[in-house]
Amino acid sequence: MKHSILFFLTASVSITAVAHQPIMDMAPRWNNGYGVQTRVEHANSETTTWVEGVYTFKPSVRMTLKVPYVDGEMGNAILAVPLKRYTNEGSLTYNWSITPSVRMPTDGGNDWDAGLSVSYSSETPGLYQLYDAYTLGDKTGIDVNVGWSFPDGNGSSWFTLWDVSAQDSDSGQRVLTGPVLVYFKRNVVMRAEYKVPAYDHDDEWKGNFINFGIGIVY
Amino acid sequence: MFIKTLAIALLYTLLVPFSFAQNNSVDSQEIATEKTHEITYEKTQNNNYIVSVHGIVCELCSYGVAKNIRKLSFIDATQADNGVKVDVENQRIFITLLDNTPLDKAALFKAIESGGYKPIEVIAGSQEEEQE
Repeated sequence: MKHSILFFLTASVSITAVAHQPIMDMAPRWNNGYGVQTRVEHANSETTTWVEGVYTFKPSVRMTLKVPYVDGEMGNAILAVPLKRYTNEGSLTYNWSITPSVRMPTDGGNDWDAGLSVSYSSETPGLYQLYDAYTLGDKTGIDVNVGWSFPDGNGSSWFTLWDVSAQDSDSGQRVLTGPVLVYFKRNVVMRAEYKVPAYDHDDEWKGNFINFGIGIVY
Repeated sequence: MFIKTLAIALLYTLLVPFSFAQNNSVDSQEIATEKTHEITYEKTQNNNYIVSVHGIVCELCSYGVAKNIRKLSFIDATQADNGVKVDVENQRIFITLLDNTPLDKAALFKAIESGGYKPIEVIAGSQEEEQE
């Protein structure tokens, strides 16, 4: 019964989908940790700059704010509260996460959107994987990141991941896929990704997806 | 439609074990607490200790743990890596204490837990001794 309620709750609430980033998802996972990052993404002949912040009250509760800018104009900001349940066992750490969110009409409009996503991610010294399912208004999607990490033992690490993002909406369906490269140096993170359509029956989608981000956590 | 069905199915699949994961995590915390009381340690001549920590496998994610430990009053921040070095390959943390300062195990473990990880045990030793 409990699971059925969760299912219908999740299926009936929309969510704003944004790409998963190391800052926000992986860090900060410590009490009173915080971080900022900026991302530039290019898709559909449009470039969006995201300014994002995160505060972690405790490992299981954090808050994120993401503000998009398109051609210098502020878009609709997204406030979210990722709730995570971590488990640490030997050389494995994993977490289940449920993230309610709200998209606010900071672009001057009047529309508010509520959202929810459910995700699972795990990591060992060599392997990272993330699975996320979400809905957003008329959009429903799945995002998968799987790949390897290469820590150098001196506070930095490379991640090479493969990303698959599938989305269904009123305008059609599409599946984007491509490589992701992540580099950490102590508390600084850089992430670049490039995805191409593997399946494109979406009337509103054109071309590839490019994203580059840099952030820092404390 | 296919993707939508698949997404909802994945959502449900992820939600079902969510509550179980919560229960497991509580158990893990209880186990860690029990182990904390069992651990003994002894002061070494060179003030170096090795802490085993479950789940500490990521350089970025462990930044907060190292930061928390460096704030402890008995850590010697003048040493290499400011007295704290995380070994993500083997899930260990190497720490160096100030001279004539005892190790406060409870404070150390609390710093690690507030960083999101599970401390298991602390023993005397250093990274250099491990490599020999």
